[in-house]
Amino acid sequence: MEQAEFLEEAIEKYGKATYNFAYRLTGNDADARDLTQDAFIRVYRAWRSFRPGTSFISWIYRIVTNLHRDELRRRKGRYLEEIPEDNSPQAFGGSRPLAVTPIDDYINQGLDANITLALEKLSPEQKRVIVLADMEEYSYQEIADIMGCSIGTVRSRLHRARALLRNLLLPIREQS
Amino acid sequence: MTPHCSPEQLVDYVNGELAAAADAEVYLHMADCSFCHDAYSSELSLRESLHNFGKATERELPASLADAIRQAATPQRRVSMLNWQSFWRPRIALPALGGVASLALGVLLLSPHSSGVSTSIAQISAAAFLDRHTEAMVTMPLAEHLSAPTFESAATLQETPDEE
Amino acid sequence: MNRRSLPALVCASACAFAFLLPLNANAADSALALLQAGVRAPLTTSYTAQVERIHFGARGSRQTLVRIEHLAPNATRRTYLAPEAFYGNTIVQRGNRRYECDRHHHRFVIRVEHDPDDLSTAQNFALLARNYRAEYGQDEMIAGYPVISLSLINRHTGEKTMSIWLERNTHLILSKVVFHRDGAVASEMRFEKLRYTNKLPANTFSTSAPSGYIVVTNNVANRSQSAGSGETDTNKPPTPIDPHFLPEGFALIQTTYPTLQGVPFLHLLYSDGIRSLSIFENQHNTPAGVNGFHAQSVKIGERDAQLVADGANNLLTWQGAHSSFTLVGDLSKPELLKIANSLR
Repeated sequence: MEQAEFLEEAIEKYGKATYNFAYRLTGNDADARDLTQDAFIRVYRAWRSFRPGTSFISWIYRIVTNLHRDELRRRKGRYLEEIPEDNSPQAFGGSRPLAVTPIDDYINQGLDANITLALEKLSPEQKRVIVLADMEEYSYQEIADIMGCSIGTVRSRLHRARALLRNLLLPIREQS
Repeated sequence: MTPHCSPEQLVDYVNGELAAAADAEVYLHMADCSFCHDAYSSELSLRESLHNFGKATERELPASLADAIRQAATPQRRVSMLNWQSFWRPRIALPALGGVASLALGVLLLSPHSSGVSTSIAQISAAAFLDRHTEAMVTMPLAEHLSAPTFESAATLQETPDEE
Repeated sequence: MNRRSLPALVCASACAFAFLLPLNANAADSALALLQAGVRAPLTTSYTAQVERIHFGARGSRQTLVRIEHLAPNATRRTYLAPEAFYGNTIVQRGNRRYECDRHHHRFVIRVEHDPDDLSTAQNFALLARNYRAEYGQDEMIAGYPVISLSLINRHTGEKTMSIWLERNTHLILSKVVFHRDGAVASEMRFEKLRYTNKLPANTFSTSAPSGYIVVTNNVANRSQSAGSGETDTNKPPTPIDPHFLPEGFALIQTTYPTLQGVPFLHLLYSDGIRSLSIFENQHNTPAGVNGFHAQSVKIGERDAQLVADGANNLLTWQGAHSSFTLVGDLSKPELLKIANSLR
């Protein structure tokens, strides 16, 4: 397989998952794009080092994790803003008019917003482990491989993160 | 096992990460302990919420991002998707289509070489181009809408060429 | 949800609303929301102020001092106080009409400009947000008001392109510094003597020409519609030529067919949300005349070209095989040359 073909197949099969993973770590579109692009560039450059039969997604997630970690270190102390989506003018100050929004949507928005905010309270390492374990349902071993740490570390980070989320989210869930 | 399962045990249980014996022990304990069963249900519900949140907020890979990756990886491919996307904006596409249509008409009416015969016209000052550029920037969010009226950019530049 | 009773729905939605409030507050605090508030501030804020603008060039700087009276949403009067060559000149802007009164040449120019629609404004803001990251800087005081500073960093190059300072309460942009790619300051704008008021004398925005003045009407909006309207052969619009190179993040945002001094042009406007590039093309022997400017001779392929610096903008003009081209933009000279060489 040629290098360009390898890249094309990687984008096709894993582009969406990688972008989503990056988005969940960064919380905004622009940084997720940067992270995804950087990760794929690294994959492209190091394509010969990929061993068939191993998990590509674990490889690229690990690259994303490391790039994100580096970026956070680099930006330490700076503020970041939420960046709007492609072609979504409502992101620029316009929330939907109250009169035409179904009440279900509001409740779901509220719960999603709760989760979004609760995730923001986690440390980057805790957030990564929650995304991988609970949203993407990876095993502890796979998460340890991606994050480059021991299973024990995964376990303890997950326990702490879940405890924090439990305290933040469960009371609100029970109310609604 | 202590009277109740620990939260850590329940997290591992929900995630299917307990060893077989420990898993069975928790399972059996919950059959008799409503407290732990409720805690387990709550933990499961939290995991489901997170999983559903992940699904609900899943995004498609933006086409412009895929293109940007290809471009960055193989720099010789410089075709910008953004440009093509922009082309389809009505305010761009309609005049452009009009231009293409009139161009096609021109090609029909003129011999292929006649358009190459140019007519000499008095020069247009660079200031007119600079003004027009500034005028066109009116929809840009941070453009200096208040700058570059004719008398500022054109006339005085010619009077005081040493100034920038 | 359908099984829920009405009181439960009301209660649940109340919870959701209560939760959404801090979320919106966070969004309002974000740099991007703040930036947009700054852009929109003149629509709701009336004021008088004195504004100083300085454009820094390679061989000196150009400074203007203007008194501004602004009545929200869209009436503005500017009176030039400096330099001496403009002293007393006024510009009254009412919506998309601009009335320029040049006291030194006894000329009154009425311009009808494009009326920007909300969609294109929003799209252009989206373009800016896609290409620039906003970072908070230090809070300061300008013209006696507390301001929040933002730096706009180009996502592709990591370079700081602009710094702006927004008044904390009204979000009015009170100062702005534009940087060249090498980090040098290209231009600076700063408010002085700011006063918020909507009590302005009735004749502030008068649009009548003083007696004895030559009145010139310059209709940009109509000029743009002129393509393909039964003109002579030489007035046919030229073939659009796309540059194969553009700086990262640039997109085509507007295509028009203006007429400059009777000559029809194709005008393509590209931008990344802050920086911009115009490509003017026509089929006459009409590259831009650079008399009065300091022009530098350069080559585009085999052809001679002239390069002119005008404050933050550079202009490059040459006669091609079948068309003449003029490029204008706040891009570096190497960037303009690279774009010119990529036109095919």
